[in-house]
Amino acid sequence: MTLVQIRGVTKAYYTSRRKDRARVVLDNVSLQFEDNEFICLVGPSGCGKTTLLNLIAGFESPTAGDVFYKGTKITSPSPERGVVFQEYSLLPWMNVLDNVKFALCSSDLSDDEKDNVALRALTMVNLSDSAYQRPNLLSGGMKQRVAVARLLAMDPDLWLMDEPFSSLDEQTRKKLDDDVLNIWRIKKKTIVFVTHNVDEALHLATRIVLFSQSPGQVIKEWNIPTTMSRDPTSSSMIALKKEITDAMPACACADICPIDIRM
Amino acid sequence: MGSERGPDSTIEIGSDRPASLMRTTIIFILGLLITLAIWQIFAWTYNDVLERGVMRFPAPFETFVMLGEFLFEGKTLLGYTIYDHIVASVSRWMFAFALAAVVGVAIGTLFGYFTSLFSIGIVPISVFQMIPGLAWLPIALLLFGLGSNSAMFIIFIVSVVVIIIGVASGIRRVPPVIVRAAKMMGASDLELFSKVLMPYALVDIVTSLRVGMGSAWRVLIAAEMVVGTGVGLGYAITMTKDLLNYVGSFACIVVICIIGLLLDKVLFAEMEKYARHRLGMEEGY
Repeated sequence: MTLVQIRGVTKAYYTSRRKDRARVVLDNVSLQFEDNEFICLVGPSGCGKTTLLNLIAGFESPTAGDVFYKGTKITSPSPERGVVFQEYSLLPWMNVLDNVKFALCSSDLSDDEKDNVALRALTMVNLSDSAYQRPNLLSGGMKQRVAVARLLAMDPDLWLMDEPFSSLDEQTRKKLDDDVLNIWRIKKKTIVFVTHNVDEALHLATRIVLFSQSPGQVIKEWNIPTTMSRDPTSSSMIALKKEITDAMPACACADICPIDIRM
Repeated sequence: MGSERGPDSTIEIGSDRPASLMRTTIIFILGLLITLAIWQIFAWTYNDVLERGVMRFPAPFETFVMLGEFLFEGKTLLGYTIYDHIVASVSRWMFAFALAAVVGVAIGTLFGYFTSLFSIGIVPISVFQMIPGLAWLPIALLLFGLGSNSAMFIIFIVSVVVIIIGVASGIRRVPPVIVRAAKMMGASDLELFSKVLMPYALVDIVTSLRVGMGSAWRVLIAAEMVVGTGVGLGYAITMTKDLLNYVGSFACIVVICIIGLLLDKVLFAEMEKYARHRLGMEEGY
């Protein structure tokens, strides 16, 4: 089943106060995400990966084109489409458990049931010991695990993850990547994962979508069969990595010239 | 307190709380003594060194003696006890400030949340802010005439402006990612407002209330001096001055300082500490 359909989406932001200049961040992008896929959006910074994720989440709306979720046009954020943000997004005055319970604010569960769901989610990310601590006592990796636990509690069909572990150290990032992979295997959800790290994408994805530099367009897509070995030293992985790296835009200068809009 | 570290790794940390409380108290008392010393030296220079006055400059001792008479011996001032004056001033202040707090937090929140409303609404607020408290006097007199209501109007208008600006900027400082996260989790507009925006802006809201309360208190005394309220500390100051009872004026000023200090140091300092703690701005649990 097609979960997300992106049809000819263009997104531009004004770059001047007088609104006569704009920067095109996404240029006529069309994509389709199927059920139970693990999609990694890869590309240089500033190429519109995060913007695309924001459009799917419903935080922003496209300048042109449409985004559909299960056949309905996306107009606003919804708990059906969970997001793990790049920045820490916990409420500092609530303890970890209450933060996770807040993700259930639109559900009809009783308070006890919410407690149970939240605790189960925290156990899955190994944070049940910290349930009554407040976020300011948590490390960066723990904070992002709480953000993952929120989504586990909400249990959306679509997980949108915007470079969730990019500010963490390498070991922690790898560990959390594996945790996400496990969750994906168990829960059989669809995950759209933004990263600029090709190795991370190769480790996680069933499909890699490579974006060009701004204005962002899809350069190429690769499907990785689940049966394929994920060992980064295997010859097929090395070949695939070379293919992706070669296709990547050579220069990573993200600040491009603004274009003129005649009005 | 402050030593709870989680179930499996709890360690005892020696608390330094009593020591630091003592320290701040000593520093505070020292500050008060310096204030009194400056006052005493000034009065002594004025009265005994320069010998220039027709009137004596009231020194701390005689002021506190008179204050004692007001407070404990039932001596009246302009036909009222000091408590009548205090109650009159404080109740005017509380009423006008409470109204300003409710209106200010409501408008400030709207301004903070709706960017378009902010850019328009902040213009009249900035204009109002530029008007010194007592310059509202003609407007107050036109609207309410002489008396208590005019004083309360001035207090209201001065503090409401401060509160609106403070609350609006507090709400505007809430990180967008927090608002997005709440919306993504399905928070309704009401939940977003009451469970996310308000708690996040709590420190700024408390600070703006604190500043608003201070400016309300100052302008109250000034307003009472000019609008002829009949009773109240500001009225008492200006009348005792006219009757050349300078010691009485000074006693009233001391009362004003004590009330202001109590509210600021005790009530609002605690509220702010609590808010900062909730936001995790202080270290520890």
